[in-house]
Amino acid sequence: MSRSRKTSRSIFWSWSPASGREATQAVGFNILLHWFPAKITDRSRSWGYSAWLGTISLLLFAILAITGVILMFVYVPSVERAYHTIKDVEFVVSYGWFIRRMHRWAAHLMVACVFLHMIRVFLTGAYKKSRKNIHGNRPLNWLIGLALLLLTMLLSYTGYLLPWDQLALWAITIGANIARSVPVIGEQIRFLMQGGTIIDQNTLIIWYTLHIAVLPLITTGLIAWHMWRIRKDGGLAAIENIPVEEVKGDAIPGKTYTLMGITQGVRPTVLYHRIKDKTGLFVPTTLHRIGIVLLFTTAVVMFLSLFFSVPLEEAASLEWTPNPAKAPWYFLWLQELVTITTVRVRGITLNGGFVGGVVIPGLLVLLAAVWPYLDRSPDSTVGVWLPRKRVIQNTVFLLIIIAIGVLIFIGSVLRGPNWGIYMPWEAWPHHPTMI
Amino acid sequence: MKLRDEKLLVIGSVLVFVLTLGVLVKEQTVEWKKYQKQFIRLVNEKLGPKVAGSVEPGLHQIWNSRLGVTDRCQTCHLGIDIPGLENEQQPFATHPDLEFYKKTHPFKDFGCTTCHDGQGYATRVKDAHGEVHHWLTPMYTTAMAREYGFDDIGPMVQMKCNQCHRKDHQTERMEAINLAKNLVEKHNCTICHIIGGQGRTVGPELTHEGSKFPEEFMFDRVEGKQSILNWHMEHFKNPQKVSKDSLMINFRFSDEEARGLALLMMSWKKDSVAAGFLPSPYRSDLTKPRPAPTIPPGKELDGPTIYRLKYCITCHGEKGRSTTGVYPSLAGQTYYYLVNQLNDIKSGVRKWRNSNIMQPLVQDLTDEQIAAVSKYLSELRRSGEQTAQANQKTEKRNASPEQTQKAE
Repeated sequence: MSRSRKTSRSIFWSWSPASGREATQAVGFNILLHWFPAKITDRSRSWGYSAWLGTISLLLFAILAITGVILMFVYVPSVERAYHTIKDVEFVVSYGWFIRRMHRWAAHLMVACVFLHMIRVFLTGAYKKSRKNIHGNRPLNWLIGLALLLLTMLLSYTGYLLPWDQLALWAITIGANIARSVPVIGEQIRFLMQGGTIIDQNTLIIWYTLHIAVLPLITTGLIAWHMWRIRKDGGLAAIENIPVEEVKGDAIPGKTYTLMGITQGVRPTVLYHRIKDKTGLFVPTTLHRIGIVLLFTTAVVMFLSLFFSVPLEEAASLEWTPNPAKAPWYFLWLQELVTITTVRVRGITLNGGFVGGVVIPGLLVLLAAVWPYLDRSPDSTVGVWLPRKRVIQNTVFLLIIIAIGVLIFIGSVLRGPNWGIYMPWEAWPHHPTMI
Repeated sequence: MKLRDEKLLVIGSVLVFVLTLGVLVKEQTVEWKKYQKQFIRLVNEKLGPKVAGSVEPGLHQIWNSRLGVTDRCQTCHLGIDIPGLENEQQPFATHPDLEFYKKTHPFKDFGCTTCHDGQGYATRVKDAHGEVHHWLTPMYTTAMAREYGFDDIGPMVQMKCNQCHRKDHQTERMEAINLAKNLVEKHNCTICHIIGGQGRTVGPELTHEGSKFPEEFMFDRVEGKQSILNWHMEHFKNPQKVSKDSLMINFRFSDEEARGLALLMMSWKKDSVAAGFLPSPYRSDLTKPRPAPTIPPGKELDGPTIYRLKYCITCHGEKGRSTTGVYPSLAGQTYYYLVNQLNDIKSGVRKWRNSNIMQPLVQDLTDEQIAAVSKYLSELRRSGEQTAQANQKTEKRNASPEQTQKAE
């Protein structure tokens, strides 16, 4: 190290690591970096096993937090001003268009990534408790993850209202009306959601507070817990089925094991377990991977933001409804379910809002929550992609996911005016205009 | 493995760097900066460096919260208040008739969208002109005006003028709207419609007609453009064609009249204008209750005069021949029938059909006047078509007297 570099480093550093091991230890001492263990197996670190979806989700959350705080400097949560402030962000605030697009794209991506992360965890059976891992509690972490999925959707949904445009207002109306279809307490739930009987200033301030303070704080806490639990569960489930060999090691010279009461004599045989997979120290192997994931996640969000605009429709108006009015894409499958389960028998309409909008998704979440405790597949399936012994449950799970995907596709791409089906190449009927 | 990761790190860094450059370039090369450069070059050439030096670069915004105006149009339209650029291409031309508008509607107070519509917030051409999805009020363009049969945007802009000038009886430079206001007065629309608190409820209230949204109209019988403005035009030309069961009379308005009236309808908006911006002093208001039509002396017993001045003519038609099937023709009706009906309407005995509209109009008629107008109508000749209809009716009556009477 040159003298000048040494001098410049001495301004900010009191010590610099001499080896990878020291650097790794340094990470362990750092509150921000100690989440990762000093050594990680190649399998845990691989792209193929986890696709790093959890880390990507966390990074997207960080991008959202940063861009969100910037937007807060301009945004005014008032029904008179909100829409205009977004127009200002779009047209006159320096780089405002970019920050807003990043916030929106990162939000969509985060919902998608968290969802994909859950699919990955299910398909690799990583939520399971195994006999080997007696101190771990992976089912609990699955539950935290499930809560994080719901929180992510809620965060995105609460943010959806804030621009106070037609898209926002009517998407929220759909959600509120689905909530209203709950028997007995439906009306109260809707009242609570809206802060009144209609969507207005009260709704906006409630959703704003949830969006910028309450939900991010809970989410941050749960993310920390989620990641801490991975360490406490013994790392990723990927390592569970890696063979372990027993190795005779040499005692460290100079230690008096007799005094420590471990063994008799001075030179005992030390046995330890060694995983039969290559491992790497945090620095540089894992750190490199984190860097790559960070750079590419940022690059994807920046690319989308640079080339694709995000919607801002007409100012919110309860006087007229856009046709079709759609919920955000991650709730569109519910809107489709509501459509499917709405049945007309001899002029009597059975509203599908409750069945399609509450019962079916509620059951799915409940089933997901209890599944780790019902799953009886053998330990050999933990941490393995699509093992043959879990073929039935993985198939059923994938079918549900595909069904949700198909419903989202129908809702977002095929649905046109009056909720009719229009193929992408079919033109929608002309909407009358004012002038 | 290690090498691949390092390569990826480099690729990722380069990607983020390039994208960052892209963002910087996009922000710095916005359309309006190009226009400003062009404009300064143009002014330098035409009006000299002194004027060019006075052009301030950067975003220009007119903000008037009282009018709800946030207009950034003059970021590109820099020349609107600089005389001498009348013949330049947009966005650099001087505003036509600059002296008049500078005096009456200074741009720094009124902005642009107050009269022209469009999206004042926007700083990109397409967005600013409102020619994008999700903007309800696009800027008026010559192409748009021609679609409706106007020569230029003048009449379209009058829709906006009249939002403030609503209470004017007649306004300078608002010919299309002035024509429509004359028609409203001539035909006394408040006989059937409430306008600004005056009138009756036979037809829909029109006070805030211009604030309705497309979904409140049926367009399946409207020919041409599917817009509210065109709906009104078509409806004024032939109400029953657009709205099958309409009770409105077909006044046989000309294209020009129908266009003017449609513009007037669109201008009657609910948005309130800050009092300070209303034209002052208020001139006579169309919707004020007007004095009951007085019958000129010497004509008190003149049937045709009574028929016209008591507005019978509005629905029952010129010479007693109704133009729609909705209201009966009275030409050639039996004298005694007319006298009885008029007396019953006057006294309030008759309550069916539109007695409530007619009652206030005939209540001050004397017996002699009733006799005079009935005589006038009974002596008028029916049209051939009406004679045929009457014959048919008689046949029907002969066939089943009870049923027909009930139906009537």
